[in-house]
Amino acid sequence: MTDEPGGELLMRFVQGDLDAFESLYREYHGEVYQWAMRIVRDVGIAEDVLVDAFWRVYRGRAQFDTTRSFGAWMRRITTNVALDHLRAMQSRASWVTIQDKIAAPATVAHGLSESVLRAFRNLPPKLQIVATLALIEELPYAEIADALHLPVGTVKSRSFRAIRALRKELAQLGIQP
Amino acid sequence: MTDELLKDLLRSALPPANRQGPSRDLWPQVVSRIEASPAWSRLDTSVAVGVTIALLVFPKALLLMAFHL
Repeated sequence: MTDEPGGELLMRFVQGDLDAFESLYREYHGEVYQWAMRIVRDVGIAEDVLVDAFWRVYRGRAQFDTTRSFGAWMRRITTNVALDHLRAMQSRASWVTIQDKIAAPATVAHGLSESVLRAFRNLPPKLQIVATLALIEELPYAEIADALHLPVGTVKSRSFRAIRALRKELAQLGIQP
Repeated sequence: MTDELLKDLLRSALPPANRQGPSRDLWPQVVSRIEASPAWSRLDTSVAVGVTIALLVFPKALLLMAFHL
């Protein structure tokens, strides 16, 4: 993780100094992008998340406590923005699915990967994000809990629910656990 | 299906997340986004002006508005 920026830089950022904010952007944008990519898994959406996250950070700068970790705060905001994008992706996907059904009612055979991806994308976003970070990225529960601003127990239970829901979704798609 | 198999399936189905950084410099977009978000938009201002005028002309409408709030 990037070293924490100095207190003076953070103070200037809180006061609205755009140069200070640019310094923070230059220091953190790679980390923010990689974190967003781990969650949304799409180059274009990860870039949107990055822009949104830095915008929200700037907008909420007055609430930032300069004695706390900027990196952790930035990561939480990025996680929330990524979660909003997952929700938007899901509503767009359900619209596309409805359109597909209208346009092509005949069932098309899908490969295993496609079925797994579909099952995964059908999970509620709050389970999807935990499943991505815990099952695919294999991050420690404590790190996920910090990013999502949730208790570790809640993350564990969401991970368990995600596995259960995935098995159910896969079973419905004909892939028997 | 074991949890490990499920994880393997997910990893192979989802696109990798191994890109190091964005394809281009996004700082100008961040700045545009900041500059494009005034506290009050023109629409907000016109609605506020409209509501104030309506309340001055029809003061009893305040009760109706309070009911809807």
